[in-house]
Amino acid sequence: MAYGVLIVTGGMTHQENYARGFQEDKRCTLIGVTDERDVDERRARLNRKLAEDLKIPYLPDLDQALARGDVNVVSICTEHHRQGRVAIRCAEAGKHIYVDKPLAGNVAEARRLEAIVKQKELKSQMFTHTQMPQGQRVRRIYQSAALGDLRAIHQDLQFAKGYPGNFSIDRRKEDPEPKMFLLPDAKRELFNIGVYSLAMARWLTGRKNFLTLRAVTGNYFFETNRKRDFEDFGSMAVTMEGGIVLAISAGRTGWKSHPGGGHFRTKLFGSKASVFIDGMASHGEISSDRQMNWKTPAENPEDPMGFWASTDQRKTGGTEWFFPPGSQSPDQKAFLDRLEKGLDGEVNISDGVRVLEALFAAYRSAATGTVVKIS
Amino acid sequence: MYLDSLGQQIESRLKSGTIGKAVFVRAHLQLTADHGLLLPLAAEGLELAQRWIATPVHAVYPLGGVPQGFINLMVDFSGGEAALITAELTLGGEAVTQLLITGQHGSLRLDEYPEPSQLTDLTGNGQRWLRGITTALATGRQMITVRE
Repeated sequence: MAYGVLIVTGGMTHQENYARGFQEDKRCTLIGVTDERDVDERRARLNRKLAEDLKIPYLPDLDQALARGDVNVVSICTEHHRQGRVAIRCAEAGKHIYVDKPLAGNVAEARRLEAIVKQKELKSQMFTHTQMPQGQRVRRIYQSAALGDLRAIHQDLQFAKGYPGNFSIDRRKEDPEPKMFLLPDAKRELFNIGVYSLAMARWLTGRKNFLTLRAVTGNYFFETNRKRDFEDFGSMAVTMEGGIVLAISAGRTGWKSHPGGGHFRTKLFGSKASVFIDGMASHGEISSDRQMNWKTPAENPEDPMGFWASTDQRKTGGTEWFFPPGSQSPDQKAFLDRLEKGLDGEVNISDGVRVLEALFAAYRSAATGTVVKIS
Repeated sequence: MYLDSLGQQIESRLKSGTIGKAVFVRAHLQLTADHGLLLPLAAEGLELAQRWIATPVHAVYPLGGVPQGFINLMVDFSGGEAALITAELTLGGEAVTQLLITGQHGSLRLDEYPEPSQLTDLTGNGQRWLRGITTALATGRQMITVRE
């Protein structure tokens, strides 16, 4: 079957990847890029730019675009404070939904979206890291039964991007119910990155629910996040059904915090064994004295080849990393594969709602310094 | 002795300023097959984290338990920093210490596989936390050490 895919919201979002994922799949025809009619000039410009890049029409009225008979699937990647209402309109129009994470900017809209998707029997998938090689590896190991009963999941997901500042660190006063999550110069990073680990845990455990949560958020790295009062890092300790403990760190930690994309570490602890999975383990390394940061020790004529400990000729420098091919996420393909079989996505709208409930519980916890129950 | 040496080594690296102020510590201390050492090890892990973060502990939220084979501590420091400390059974595998310390200007990662002969004395100053952690774990509540 051929799927007509409508791209909802364009450039400077993850849609840059998602739309190309659908475009490269022979089962899809991209119908156009669309958005709400009253978006601001910047958003309209970025939407037109992505349409031009993809060589597809820009359709400036979401409702008119959704009314087209050739649209089966929408790929939604709208700023979070708008994404809930936009996704609701797409669901009301009866379109299958592929949506960026997290699902929405508030739980009420997410639950309304879930109800419509169920009532109209739509298929859905929220983008996560579950289809990436490290996600698949985590699940393969979990399903092998080598671990025994899973007792704890630990995950650190720290993106090595951004320019850290030199400010002193204060205890953050968190907003228990934030309403904005993304601006051109700042993101709420517990929200945007912590979502991956929560979704991974739910997916891995066969949709076990989150029960309680304690979180700490911080402004450790970026002046822009401090000015916007957006956290750039968060830590969470979560209890799940089945007595499973989930311990997460998530954030953006600055360009130089990792030689590759960042720390992506998972440890699974079971009744029989434990396993540590480094999501960045597959990489190449180059070390050379032609690298900018390399400092070769000064030659000691007594020990020119550095044979002996007493001459202490320590070298310093940065190793250059590169990554082998094949690390691209096949998330869009996975959704289409499931759609063809009449199946829902492995991480669907309902999963997205449960994860969003946990994220908002994390803000309440960080604001109050207490352990909170997740509704 | 092993943990104290580790503490000193990492502290000296942090004091060099290479990664800037430490703001987050992830530590897995998978160093024993003895259930009875899990709580003391978790307490030592907390002591190490405080040494590296260099800020008073505000609250500790313990999860897991001795029967489950692991103790996880979520630590909220007074300055806003955080730590996730886990003491785990080796479950028949090799002993390992895994650290990820995130600083304002970089990160420090350590993966170390100590020999059993290095692990003869695993308790030290961290035992001052033991009672509080044990009580918090039994009651399911946080251990609050500093009230703002």
